[in-house]
Amino acid sequence: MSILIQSFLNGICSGSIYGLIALSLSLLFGVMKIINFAHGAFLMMAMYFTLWICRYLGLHPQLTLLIVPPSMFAVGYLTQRFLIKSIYEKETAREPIGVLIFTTGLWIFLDSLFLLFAGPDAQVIKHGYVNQTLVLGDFIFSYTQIFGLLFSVLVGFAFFLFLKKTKTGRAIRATGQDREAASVIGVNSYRIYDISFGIGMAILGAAGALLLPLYSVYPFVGDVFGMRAFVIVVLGGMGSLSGAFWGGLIIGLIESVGAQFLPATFTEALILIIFLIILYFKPSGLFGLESE
Amino acid sequence: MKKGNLLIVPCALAFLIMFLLIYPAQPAAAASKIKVGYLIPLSGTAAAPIGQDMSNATHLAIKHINESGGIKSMGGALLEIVEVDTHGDPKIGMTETERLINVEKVPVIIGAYQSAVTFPSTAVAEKYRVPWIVDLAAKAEITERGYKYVFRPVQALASSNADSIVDFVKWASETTGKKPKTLAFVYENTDWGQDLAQTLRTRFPKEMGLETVLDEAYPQNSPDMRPLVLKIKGRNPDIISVTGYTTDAIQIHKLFEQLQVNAMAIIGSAAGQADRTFVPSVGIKGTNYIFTTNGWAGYESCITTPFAKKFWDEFMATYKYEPTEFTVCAYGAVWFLKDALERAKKAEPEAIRGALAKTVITNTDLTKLLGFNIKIDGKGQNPLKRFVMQQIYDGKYRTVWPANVAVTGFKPVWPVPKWSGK
Repeated sequence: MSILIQSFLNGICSGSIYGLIALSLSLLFGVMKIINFAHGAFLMMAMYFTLWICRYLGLHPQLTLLIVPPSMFAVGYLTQRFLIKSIYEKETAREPIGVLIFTTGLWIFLDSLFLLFAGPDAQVIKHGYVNQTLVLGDFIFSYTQIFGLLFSVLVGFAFFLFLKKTKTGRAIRATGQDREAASVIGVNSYRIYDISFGIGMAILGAAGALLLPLYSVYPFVGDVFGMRAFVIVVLGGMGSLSGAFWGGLIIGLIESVGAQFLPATFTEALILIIFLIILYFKPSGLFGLESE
Repeated sequence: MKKGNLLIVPCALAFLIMFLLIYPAQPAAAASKIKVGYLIPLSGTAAAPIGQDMSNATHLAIKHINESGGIKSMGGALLEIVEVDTHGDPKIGMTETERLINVEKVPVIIGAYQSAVTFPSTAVAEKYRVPWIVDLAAKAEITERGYKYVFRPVQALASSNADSIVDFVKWASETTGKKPKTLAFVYENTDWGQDLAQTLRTRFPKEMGLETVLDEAYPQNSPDMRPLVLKIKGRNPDIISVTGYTTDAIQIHKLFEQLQVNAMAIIGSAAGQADRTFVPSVGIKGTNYIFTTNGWAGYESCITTPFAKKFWDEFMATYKYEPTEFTVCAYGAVWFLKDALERAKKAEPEAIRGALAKTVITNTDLTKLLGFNIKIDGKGQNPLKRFVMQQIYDGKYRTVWPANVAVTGFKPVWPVPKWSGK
C-alpha cells in the first residue's frame, strides 16, 4: 500500500514537470497556431544550459532557475524575431504550414548541433543536492522531486496570473483568440508573438532546469519528452493552457500508478489508449473549448 | 528581407561546389587498398556512446594493422574503413548494407553492434554473399539461421551472458553459504533484453529454486524510471538483475540509491553498467558493490603482453579514457579479419568467407588480450568466448569470477551491505 501511495505522489511530481513542458508547447500553439516540432530540442538545449552552468560556474542546481529561463526567453525571442517571423509574414493562411516545416528543420539542426559540440554521452549534474532524499517513514522523496513540484506549480500559477492581470497577458490572449480583431484594437501581433515565444521558451527553460537533476541529458533527450508533450497537449485540449497542465499531471499519474499494476511497456500503451478514448468521446480534448 | 533571400542561393551553390571539389579528391590514391564496410550507431540512440567507443577502437585497429605492414600476403595492402552511422535504426542498417555492397563494393563488412540492426542487415549481406563479422550483437539467431557468410568471433550468444549470471550466483551462494530465495529481473524491451530474460526466467527457478517476484520489460529511453524501481522495491527481491543500455541503467541505479532498494546482489549485464560513463554518472557510492557481467576480464587480467600494452597505451593517449569490453571486442574483430585476410590472399568475398570459416587462433597476443581463444564452428560462432563476472568497488571493475581470470587480492562482497551501511 505504501508503494502505491508513493507511486501516486511520484506521479504528481513527474506530471507537474510534464505539465510545464506541455504548457509552453500549448502557449505557442494557442497564440501563434504554431506546432513547434523543435520543442523537445529546445528542452534539450535548456538542460545543457543547466548542466554547463552547474559545471562551469559551480552554481547550485536550484540557482540555475535564475539564469536558464531568462536565457531561454532570449533564445525564444530571437528565434521568433529573426527566424520564424519572416516565414510567418509570407504565410497567408491562418495555420502557417511553412513554420511547421521550419521547426522540424530546426529540431534536426539543434539535435545535430548539440551532438557535434556536446558529444553523444549521457551527462548528469554532479552535486550533493541531486541525491539528497527526504525519508518520511516508508516514503522516500528526493528534494529535486519536491522542489520540481513546488516550482512547477508556482510557475504555472504565476503564468496564469500574468495572462489574466497584466496588459501584455491580455494582449496575448486576445491575439490567440483572434489575430485580426486584436490588430484592429491596436495590438501589434508580431510583438506579441515575439514575447509569447520568449515566454514559452522561458517556461520550457524552467522545466529543463527542474528536470535535469532527475534525468540525464544527451542530444536526443528532447525526443523522449517532446513526443510526450504533444500527447499531453492534445489530451488536455489544443490551445487550452490549464488543460496542458492538468494533462501533464494525468499522464504522470497513469505512468506511475499504472506501472504498479501493469508491465512498464504496457503503461506506454495505456497512456495512448486513454488518450484515444478521451479523443473519441471529446475530440477537442479534456479541457478544450468546443469551437469551429 | 528580399535581398537576404537572394543571397542564400549563391551561398548554397558555393557550398555545393566546394563539397563537390573536395569530396572525390580524397580517395583515388594508392591502388592496393582493401575496403572494409563498417556499420555502427554513432548518434540518435541510447547506444551511441558505446557505438562511438567501438568506432574509436576499430579505427585504432585499422591504424595498427596498416602501420605493421598491412596484409602481407597481398603485398602489404592497406585496410580502408568505410564507416556508416546506423542511428540504431534497422532500416538504415539494411539500406546502408546494400549501398556498401553495391556502390562501395566492399568485400567484407564489420558491424553493427546492436542485435536489432545486425539481425536484418546480415540477411542483406547473406543475400549478396558478402561475409559479415559480427562485432558485438549477442542475439542468438544471428548465427543460428544456417547462414554461410556471418561470423561471430568475439561475442557469445546473449544466453551465455545470462548463463554466466546464473552460474555466478550459484557459485557465490555455494561458496559463501548465503543463498538467495527471490529474484527480480527487469530488461529493456528489445531483442537483446528479451533473449537474456528468457535464460534467467528458465534457469534460476529450475536450478536454484528461486521464486521470481518480478519479470518485467521496460521501454528503452523511458522518461521516468521511478515507477519501475518502486515496483522492484515493493517486491523486495534478494537478487535484482538489470539489463539495459547506458541512459536507462544510469537512471535505474541512481534511483536504487535514492530509494534505498536493498538486495543481496544487484547484477548488470555487460552493457549499461559496463559503460565508461556509468560510474562517473551514478557516482562511487551508488555503484559500489554492483555486479556486472563483462565480455572482457579487464586490465589486471588481460593487459599482459606488449601487443596488449600498445593497444591500451595508444588508446588511452588518443581517446583519454580506459578501454572496455566493447573497445576490446571491436579491436579484436578487426584483427580477426586481418588473420583471415592473410590466409585468403585475395580481397574477394568468397575467398575471405572461406578463410574466416576456417579460423583457429590459439594462445596468441590477440587471444591473450581478449581473454579467450577463437575457433569458428559450423554456424560461424566462436563457442570459446564466455562472460566473466565483475564487482564494482571504488569506481573500479574487479573480475571476481571465474577463478582463472579473477583478480588476486580482491574477494567478492556477497551479500552486499544495505544502503544504510554502505
